[in-house]
Amino acid sequence: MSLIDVKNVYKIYNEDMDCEVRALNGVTMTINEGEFVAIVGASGSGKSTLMNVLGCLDVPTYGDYFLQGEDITELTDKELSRVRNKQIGFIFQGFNLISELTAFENVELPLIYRGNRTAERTRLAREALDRVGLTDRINHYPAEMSGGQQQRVAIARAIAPKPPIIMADEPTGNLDSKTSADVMQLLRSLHESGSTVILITHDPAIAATADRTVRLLDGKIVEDSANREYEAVL
Amino acid sequence: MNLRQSFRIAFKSIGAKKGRSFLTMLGIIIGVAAVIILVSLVQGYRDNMMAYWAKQGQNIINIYYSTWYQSKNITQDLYDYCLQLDEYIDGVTPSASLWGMNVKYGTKTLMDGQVFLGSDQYSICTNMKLASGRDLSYIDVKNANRVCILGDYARENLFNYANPIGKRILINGEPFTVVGVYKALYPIEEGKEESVWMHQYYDGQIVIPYTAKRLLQPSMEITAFTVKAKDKDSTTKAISYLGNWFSTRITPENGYYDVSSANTYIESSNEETRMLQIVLGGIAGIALMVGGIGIMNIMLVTVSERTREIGIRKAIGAERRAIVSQFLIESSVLSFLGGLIGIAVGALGTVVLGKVIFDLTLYPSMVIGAGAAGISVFIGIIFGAYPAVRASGLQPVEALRAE
Repeated sequence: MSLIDVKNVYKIYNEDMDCEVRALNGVTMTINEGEFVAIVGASGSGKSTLMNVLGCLDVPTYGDYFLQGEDITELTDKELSRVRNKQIGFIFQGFNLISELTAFENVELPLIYRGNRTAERTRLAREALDRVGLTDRINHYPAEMSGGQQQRVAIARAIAPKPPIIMADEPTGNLDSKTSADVMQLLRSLHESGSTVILITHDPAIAATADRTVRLLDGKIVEDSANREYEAVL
Repeated sequence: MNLRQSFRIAFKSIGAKKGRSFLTMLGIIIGVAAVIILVSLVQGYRDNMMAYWAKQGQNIINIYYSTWYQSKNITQDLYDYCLQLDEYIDGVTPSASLWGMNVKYGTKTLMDGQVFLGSDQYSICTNMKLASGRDLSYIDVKNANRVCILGDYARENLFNYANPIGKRILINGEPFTVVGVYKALYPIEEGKEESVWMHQYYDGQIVIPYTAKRLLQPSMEITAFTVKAKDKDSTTKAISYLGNWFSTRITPENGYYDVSSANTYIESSNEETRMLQIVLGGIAGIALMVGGIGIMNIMLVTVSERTREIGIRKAIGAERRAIVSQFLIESSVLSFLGGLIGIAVGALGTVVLGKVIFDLTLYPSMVIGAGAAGISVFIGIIFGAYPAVRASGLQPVEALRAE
């Protein structure tokens, strides 16, 4: 059984109107556990929409989405929250940290929603912040940190509850090349330690870091291939 | 996600957004405090006036007359007529005093002793209460007995702590026996300067039977009377009866008379303060409304910011219930805190301003305060929770899109 199984998914805005937009126009794909997938495409190709559907941040208009065999489209709002909390760690292009909370508090937040006790929360949050190399920044507010550091806090927040799937939507879009490399290094290492990592990018060099590339155009998958570089390494 | 964690998150959020939290509370604080202060000040002032009138006695009819020619003394006639009106009237007494009397007991002298001429119903008409001894009697008046009743201030000055009953004092050299002592109508209140002269004036009196004036000032004519009516309606009736009675005796050709009651004055001044209360209450209400709008404004201005925050929270796995309860707790705590501080500020303001402006010890109107606090807390909670209720139902991606 595959981890993610998407069948004939459509996301249609303003359906049956003149201005109808098909952001996803019949997408079918599967992702297995432990994969490192890059979803690429021009802007407007529907890659972000696909990512939002995969991350349970949005629901498809039509189609089926099975996550670990569970039909996501059948779930209630409450059950979706639980899936987002337990199964998926989401990393945004714009970091999406809560500016009034410190790095530690931001990382702790999903653990609070999960219902972890204080000691457990502190341990997991510290562990995650150590992993991204921000041990000495835990009491800083987002505004007191560089973009790269903020993104690392966001990564720590995503990985703190130890979800099986990490999803990153243009994680390096707002970062310079040096910090981009750091962030990619981190994602790569997460993949190596067993997580399934799904990544959106428009940068071929970043996409090349992944094992598999899925290319979208006008809401459809036009290419799905294992990376040559990766094969070459093998 | 349990309630304790909702509280933890809400308090963290309040602490993290100090500026907005303070502004939200400020609207409530100002609104509530303004309502309490304005309403309490007027209420307190009014209560104080009512208390003054209550002390003076209500349903009092004042009678003045004068004639161009020397006429027969009407005091006894009026007294007898009032007895016939006993259905409406509790008592009647001359309202006349002899000033600058030299009052002595042994070596002690009461400077500026004010000697009042009273009937046996003097105490009823002036609302004075006996502390000890007896009242003037009908016989005292009839026989012009040399007896007197001392006010508290007069007693204090002439006798200090000694018992004055049965002692003889000299008024302008004429001996009078003290038969009774009044309770103080205006005791001296600590730190209240006006209470000192109120005490000297109202409690400095010495009352003698009005017939005894012939011993002290025989030429003096009694031209003013005080009548105590039973109630409001009786006051009106008694005024008309007394007016008729006078009209048969005094015409514009030979004199002038006036029969009137302070009731009308009390009512009009009561009406005035009631109007003042309504107007100031209205102003305070506007202040509360402005405060409420301020709260709404702050809450609504931050909706998009908060919507984003809700999107983030949902994206990392917050359930709708957790978000709504966080926002509800957050706005309730802020609003309640604001309401409480507002009540405290209002209470303090009432006491301080009451002292400074009116020199009165006023008590804040807690019913009004609770009402005002209730309204602003309601507004605070509704508008604080509004973004949460609206945005928590969105898909996270839609909430995140809010800029």
